[in-house]
Order: sequence, then structure tokens, then C-alpha cells
Amino acid sequence: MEYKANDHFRIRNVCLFLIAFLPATKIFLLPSVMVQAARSDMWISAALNVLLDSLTLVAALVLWKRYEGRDYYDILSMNLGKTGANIVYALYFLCFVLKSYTLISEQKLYVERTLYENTTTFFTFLPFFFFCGYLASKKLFVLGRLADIMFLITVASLVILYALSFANTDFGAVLPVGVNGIGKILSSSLRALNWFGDSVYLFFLIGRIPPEKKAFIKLLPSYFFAGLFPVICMLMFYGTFSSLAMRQEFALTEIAKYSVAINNIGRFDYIAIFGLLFTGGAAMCLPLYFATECLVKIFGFKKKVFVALGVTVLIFAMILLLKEHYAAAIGISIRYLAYFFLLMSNVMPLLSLFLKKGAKDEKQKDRN
Amino acid sequence: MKNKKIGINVMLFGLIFCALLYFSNNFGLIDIEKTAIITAIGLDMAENEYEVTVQIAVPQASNATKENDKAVISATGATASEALHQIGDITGWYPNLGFCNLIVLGEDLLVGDVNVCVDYFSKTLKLQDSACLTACEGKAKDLLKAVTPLDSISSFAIQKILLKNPGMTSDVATVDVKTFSVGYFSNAASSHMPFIRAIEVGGAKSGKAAGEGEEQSGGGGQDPEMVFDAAYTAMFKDGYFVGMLDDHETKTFNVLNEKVNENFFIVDDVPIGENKENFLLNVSDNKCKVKLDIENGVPVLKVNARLFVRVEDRTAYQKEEALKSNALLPEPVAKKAQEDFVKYMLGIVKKCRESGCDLLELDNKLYRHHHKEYERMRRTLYDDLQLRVNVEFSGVK
Repeated sequence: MEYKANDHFRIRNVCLFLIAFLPATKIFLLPSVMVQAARSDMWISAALNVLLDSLTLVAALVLWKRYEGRDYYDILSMNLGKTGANIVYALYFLCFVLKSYTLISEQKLYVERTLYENTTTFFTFLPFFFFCGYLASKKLFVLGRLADIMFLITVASLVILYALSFANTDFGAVLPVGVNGIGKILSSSLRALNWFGDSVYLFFLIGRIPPEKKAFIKLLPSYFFAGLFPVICMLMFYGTFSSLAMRQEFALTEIAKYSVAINNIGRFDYIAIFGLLFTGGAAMCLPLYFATECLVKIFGFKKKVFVALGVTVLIFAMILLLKEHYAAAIGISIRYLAYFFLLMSNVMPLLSLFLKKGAKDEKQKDRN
Repeated sequence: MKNKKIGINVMLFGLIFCALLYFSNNFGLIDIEKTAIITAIGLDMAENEYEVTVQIAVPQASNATKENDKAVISATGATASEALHQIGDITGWYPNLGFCNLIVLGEDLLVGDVNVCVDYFSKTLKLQDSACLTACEGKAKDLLKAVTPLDSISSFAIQKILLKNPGMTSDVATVDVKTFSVGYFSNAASSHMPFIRAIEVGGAKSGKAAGEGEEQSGGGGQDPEMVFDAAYTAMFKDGYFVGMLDDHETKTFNVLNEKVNENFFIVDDVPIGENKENFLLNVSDNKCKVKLDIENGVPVLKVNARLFVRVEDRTAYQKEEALKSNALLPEPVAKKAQEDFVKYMLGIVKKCRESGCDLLELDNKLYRHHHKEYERMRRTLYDDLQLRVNVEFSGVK
């Protein structure tokens, strides 16, 4: 067995990791992106994305079982050779960096536009990059500890927001179901791929999680529990805004504030919003964390901290240079890069199921 | 190992440095002492321009009292936001709309499409679109400058009328900016808002600032004290004011749409023996359902309403009547209440048909539940509509 003793990452951590981070990035800009295409059927698009990602999760689990003890890079090296593995990891690096651009940009915009009264400077959001670089340089068990703490915050915050919104949500607004047609529903799913595809992180965790019995039974319900929150968010978003949903940019601060309790007492929903910003901050770092891991694997760097620093500087530079063009950049990501994200987050994991060379069973056969 | 520690220390130091800037106003946060916290906005038309009046909560020492109209400032502009910016320019204070919970539209604004100016408040992130939206008799500016007997600021008094506890709101058809806009942009393009009328009450407040002896901008006269009635509901189609629900119709409309915990229903002229008596019923619970069905190609609106009531008060011209328990609802009262309810319901439907304002959201119901019939029926929905109202007022049995 080649598990890294210092990773201390168990199936329980993966479950909490999914619950803590999967919903946190899908409630800022994503509802407004999805509603542009699917309108009242946006929740179906979100449900399709969750199902699609569940296939990725299953693929990762199958591979994890097949190559107990091997990480994804080793598996790729055994089947495609070192160069093939490097190419796949380089593509994943690109995928994660491009994904993180949208995730960070949306949260940056959210913080600047809704939490500040006046126009903020670019540097208002600067502390995030230090946190991001710091986190990217840490070992895997740090993500596990973070998930242990943050899953409660994510769940509690979402429950508070949804509970406050419930009375003012017109769930009938999503009727009749499927009225916008399968084409628009699929188009909306495609547009959302920048935000989904979190199950692919599991490919970078296999080989670092010791085998456990009933891992499938623990992981899949956790994943669907986490995936339920974005679907509910889409339902509530459309139920709250219906005819106005097309022009609502941010869902997070919007859906709960129409509660009579908030009108009478004040915006105490901000407690939940800050909770989600807190977990969202860590969730945004994940693509960069795994992008760092990709570079470390490709080049065999010993000092991860400098790689993390480099990746953070890269994304900082991207956001700085594109700050006047963020709408166009996000538009490109939604329209064109979606296919690339589909390839890397969903197609590549399913293709990985064909990788069998060096598998545990095959070794057994060879010995026999 | 040493290099790694240096890298981490650099990042931590950067984080702390940025946090220091972040919390010490060096990122250009607005000074609170230059910020005018706007609690209400009034919009009027003044010579083809929008006249925006803002009511500002001025921080002051607890032992000093200032008259309301001192904190009311007006400015004009071609758009509502331009007028708001004008206020910032002419006073030097930054207008903070984050705490504004009331927008009042003057009567002169109701002649055109009100959404032209309301849309700004729906879109901007500076103001919460959960703010209450109302129209008023006369000028919104006068309403905000009105002196009230119990509240130091008139907008606080109005908000108390509009925002009661859940279940106790059925006197007023309160809407927020978002709800109004949702209705405006819906297929039926229909929306509504409460219509406020200021009512003069006895007593007057001195125009002089107590404790200061300072001359008022109003001239130091005696201002009449006002209270506000928001029981009427203005109806809008495509943003144009097209009709008004009276207080009874507003209450009926609210009872149909929301859960009621404590509210009152007036039943007058109930024949009891030889007399006609008046009753006030306390509505403790309601179960109401409004359903649109299609029967033989004709739209049928089925209203099922069950109201649980007890007699709160009554006129009793005969001694034996006065001895009866309030928990029991006399049969004639229940019958008259049901007749009144149906009458108000028919009044609402008639006003919707005549004005084109789909207050009952039948267009939505048709689209959602009878989608195949939508295109065929949507234009003549109210004309072809058959109404079946089943109302029951029940007390303790």
C-alpha cells in the first residue's frame, strides 16, 4: 500500500468535503446564468448536472477500488505512459485555473457590489488571494479539517436562508414542468458546467484515501445530499423572482430578504450569508489547490509552497487584467469553455473506466 | 523547510496587512458622519421632472427633539436616481439607501406608467427591493412631511401600518418593490399597491423645535397631526393606475391570499328579530382556496373560503340577545357575512374585468395548470369567467 500517511483523509472526510464545498459556489451567479436558458425549468437543468456528476463520482469510486493504493497520476502513467499522464494533468491544470477564474470573479463581484455601499477598489478582495495561496500550499488533511468545520456552517446557513425564503416562494411558478423544452434545459445544463463538475476532485483523492467497507453507501448519499441544495436553490430562486428572475444577478442575498421577519427585525439573514461567504471562500480555493497538485505531479516540484504562490499569482493576474472584461470572460466560459469542462469533468472520468493496465485484479491474474 | 516557512510568513504578513487596511477605512469606505440614512423616499411629478423627497434619520442626542420636516429634503431630476444624486450634491451628505424601507408614489405620478420610476428601485443594489411600495393621495412630499401623534417620523408610522405581524396584515394589501415588479413583468402585467390617505386628527404639534427655540423651515406654525389609512388598494395594469379596491374588498382579497390569525370582519344590518344589528367578527383562522378550472371549455373560478370567527362585539337592542355567548355565531350573522363576502368577491372580479388588472392572478393559474388552453383563453379569461363561491363563516359548534 502506498497511502500517504500524512494525508489523513478518510471516506468520512470526503463525505463532509462534498457537503461543505459543493453547494457553496453554486448560489452566487449560477442561478442567473441558468435562468437565461431554461427559465422556469432551471431546476431540472441543475438536477441533470447533479446526476451527471454522480456518474463522475461513481467512475472515481470504481477506479479507486480497481487500483487500491494508486493515485490517478500513477494509473494514467501505467496506461498512457508518463507523457500521456503529464498531458492529462496539464489539461486538468488548465481546466481548474479556468474554472477558478469564474468562481473567484463572481464572489469578488458579489462582495464588492452587495456588501459595500460605494465602488470599491480592486484591492478590497486582495486578502482572499493570500488565503488561497496559503491553502493551496497545505497538505490534503487541511482540506479534511476544513470540511469537518465548514460542513456545519454550509448546511446551517443554507437551511436558514431557505427557511426564511420558504414562505415567500411561489413554487407554482415552475409549472408547467418542462414547458421550455429539452433543448433549453440541456443548454442551461451546459452553461452551468463551469460551476458543476466537483466530483472530478475525487480523482485527485484516490490513492490517498485508505480503502473502507461500504464506501459507496457512504459517499453517494452524501453527494446527493450536497447536490440537493443547488437544486432547491434554483427552485427557490425562480419561485421568488419568476418574471424578474432573468435580471437578478445574485441569488444569495436576494431570496431570503422578503420574509416578514426580516422586514420587521432587519437583515439578520446576513449571518447566514456571511457563513456561506466563509465556506465559499474555501470552496473557491479548491480548483487552485488541485491545479497546484497537478503542477507538482507534472514537474515533480519539491517545494509546493512556491507552486501554490505561482498559481495564486497567475489567477490574481488573470482577474486583474480582465477586471474590465469580466462579463465577456464569463460569457466565453459559459458559451465555449463549457465543452472543455464537460470533457474534463465528465467525459474524461468516464473514459478513465477503460484504464485497466496494472489494476489489482490484473496483477492477481498475472500472478496466477 | 526554511524557504517554505518564509513563503508562508510572507502570505500571512500580506493577509494581516490587507486586513489592517480593510478595517481602517483605507479602502475608501464612507465616513458615517457624512452619511444620510434615508428611511423613506417619496416620488412626485414636478413640471415633467421627478421630484424625490427623502426622509432622513438624523442622529441626535436623546434629550433634543427635532421636528419631522427638518429631516425631509427634496430634489428634482429627469430620473429618480438623478434626483437622489442631486440630494447628495446639494447637501454634501452621501445618501445611504440601505435602510430605506418605504417608497411612496404621489397621486400625480399615477397618471403614467409608474414602473418607469419604480424600476430603478427594483434594479439597484443600493436599495433593498423588499422596501414597501405605496401610492398616496396628494403629494408624497406632503405625506412624508406630515406630523404624526405617536411617531417622530411619519414614515415609521406608515411602516407600522404596512408591516404588521404575520396574520395581522389583512387590512392592508402590502407589497414590496420586487412583488410589484414581478406582477408588472408577468404575462398579465398586473400589480397592486396600498393607497394611503392622510387623516387629520385632533391636536397639533408646535412648529418650534423643543428645547432649542430654533425657527422652523415651515414658518413656525401649528402643523395638524395626521394618521394614515392604507385600507384601499390601487390596481395597476401595465404600470397604469386602473382602479381601486375599497377597504372591504381589500380585506376579502387578503383573506383569500394569506393566512389570518387575528383580524376583523364587519357585518352590518343583520336582521335579528325586528331590529337590524351590527356585528364585528374576530377572524381567528381561515382556510381559503382559489382554483381555476376549465369546464366544457369555459373557465370557472372556484373560491372555497372557510373562516373561523367569534363575535367580538355587537349591538344588542334586546336583553336576551345581549346574554348570548360571543363564541356562538348566530345563524343570521353567518348568512349575512357570507352574502357580504360573496358581494365583495364579485366586486373584485368585476373591477378586474373592467380594469384589465389580473389581481387574482388567473392568468398565472391558466398558464401553469391549463397550459394547453392558455393561448386560446388568455385574452377573454375574465369575460368568459364563471364564478363559484363557496363561503362558510363558522363559530364554535
